[in-house]
Amino acid sequence: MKAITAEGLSKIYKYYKKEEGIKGSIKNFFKREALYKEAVKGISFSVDAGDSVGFIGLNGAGKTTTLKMLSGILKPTSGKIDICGYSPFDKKNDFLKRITMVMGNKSQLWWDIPAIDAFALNKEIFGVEDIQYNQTLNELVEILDVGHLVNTQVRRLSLGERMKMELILALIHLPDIIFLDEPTIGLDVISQYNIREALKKYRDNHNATIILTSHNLDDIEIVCDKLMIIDDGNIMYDGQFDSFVQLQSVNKIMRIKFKKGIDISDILKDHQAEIISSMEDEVNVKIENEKVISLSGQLMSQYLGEIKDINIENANLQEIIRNLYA
Amino acid sequence: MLLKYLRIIGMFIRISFINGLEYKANFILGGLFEFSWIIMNIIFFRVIYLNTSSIAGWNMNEVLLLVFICGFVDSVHSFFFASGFISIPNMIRDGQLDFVLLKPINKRFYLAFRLTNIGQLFNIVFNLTMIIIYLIKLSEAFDFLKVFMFFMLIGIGILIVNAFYFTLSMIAFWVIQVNAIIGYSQELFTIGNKPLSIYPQVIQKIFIYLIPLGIAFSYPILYYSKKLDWIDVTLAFIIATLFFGFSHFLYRKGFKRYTSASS
Repeated sequence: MKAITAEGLSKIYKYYKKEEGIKGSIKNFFKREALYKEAVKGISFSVDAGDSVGFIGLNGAGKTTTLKMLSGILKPTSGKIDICGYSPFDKKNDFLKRITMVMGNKSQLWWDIPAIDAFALNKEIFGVEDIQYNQTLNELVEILDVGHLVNTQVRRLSLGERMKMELILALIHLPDIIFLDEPTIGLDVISQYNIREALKKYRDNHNATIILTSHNLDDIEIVCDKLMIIDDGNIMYDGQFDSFVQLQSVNKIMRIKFKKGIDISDILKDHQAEIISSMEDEVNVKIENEKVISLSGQLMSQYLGEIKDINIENANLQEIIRNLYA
Repeated sequence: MLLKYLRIIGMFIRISFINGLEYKANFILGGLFEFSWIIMNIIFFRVIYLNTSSIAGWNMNEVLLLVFICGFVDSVHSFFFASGFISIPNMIRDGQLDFVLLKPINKRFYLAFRLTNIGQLFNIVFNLTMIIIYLIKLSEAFDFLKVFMFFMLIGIGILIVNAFYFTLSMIAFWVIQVNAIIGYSQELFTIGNKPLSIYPQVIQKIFIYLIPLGIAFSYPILYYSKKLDWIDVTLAFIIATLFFGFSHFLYRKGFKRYTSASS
């Protein structure tokens, strides 16, 4: 079942050319030249209920604008969006009760009061019944292990702890569509892990649909099963995450460990393998997929006694994406 | 539905109270400025009335009642709405309005009530008490309907002041920075909260039909002193409704223009 459908979605921002210095500012004061930026260029896609979609792209590619149109914050310049039968910009209460948005760089908590008071306020605003509120709160507090922090003033919490509270606040009304814009930005590795695990558990427990944008590709790799890549307002890829990795992985990483130091540089050269790092007893190389078997075979036949281990890995997502934009 | 909204107002007040207690000095001094304004005005008009018994048909008790009505309307506005309205332009500029748009609640209600100022509570009680005292001074006999209508007109005043400041905040959707506009508008407020009859006819018309602050402050007293007829009162209700409607029109238009902020 389709949870989200977007057809020919575009967004054009109007802004003014700002000229340099005082003279330019005075000139701007009397006459402004209007400029237009097409942030999203007629994109179409759909997302099935229960899917987790990683939405990636460079800064300014149109990710956040798309997310804000999907959630109803921004009015599309053209195109149609259907989310569970609703048109987001109408902002019908029944629609808003089914969605949520978490933004890593913006907070909806109240700075001077404990998070629990903000949860209670959202409970009233979203009309959550007492029993459901207590159940959801207990579930989320347990998943994120923040039972001891909910009564602490938000301003006394660390960034990681605050983000966990943001997540609880965003999920307290049990939404089934979750938009996340850089939810792990600025967080340490432990907090990142906790946020990702919480999202996965919530999704599995409630069959939620997730659209996640992040420059931290680990977020995408761990949470999402589908991938959508946007570049300059156009969708470059929309499909299964694994298929994309396979499609784009022209290289593999080979980690070769030796029992004693040997020189294999000529063989590597013959196979056009690029040395990534080299130590006395180990060399890591990047090599094209189709040359992996040949290199392994030659190494095994010539240096069977000297080689301790050969490990072959797919290139990581970060590298794939870097190559894609290169 | 009404209960839900009342409960939410209660929660906003609770949050404001917790916040207020966090910053003690602000909590204690919060309403002092407005209270000083009232006291200064009482002294000012008392001194003037040492030299005359009437200003444009207003006696001293009527003018002092006007001071307390202004104080009451202003303190109710400051208690519930002022802080919320002041923060709207910043929310538009930095994109914090995003979260308001995602809440299944009347957005105008949320923006209006979300930052209450508990420090104004004393001013509300003080001004209301003084209004009752001066109302008794001005009354020949108790007339329930008359008193009811008097307070209804004060309610209309609160509605007009709410719409006045909300309109100014909504301009931020077009020009982003509205501090200067709000600053100049404060001066309009200072003119509008004086006895309406002291001004020339043109200015009176402006403060009735265009920026109805004259209705907001002077009309309750003019009505109570039998200087208004039913047509004037009916017109006051219509103008207040239209003025509120205009602010709502800007609000609807503004939200469509909202572009949020980059992440």
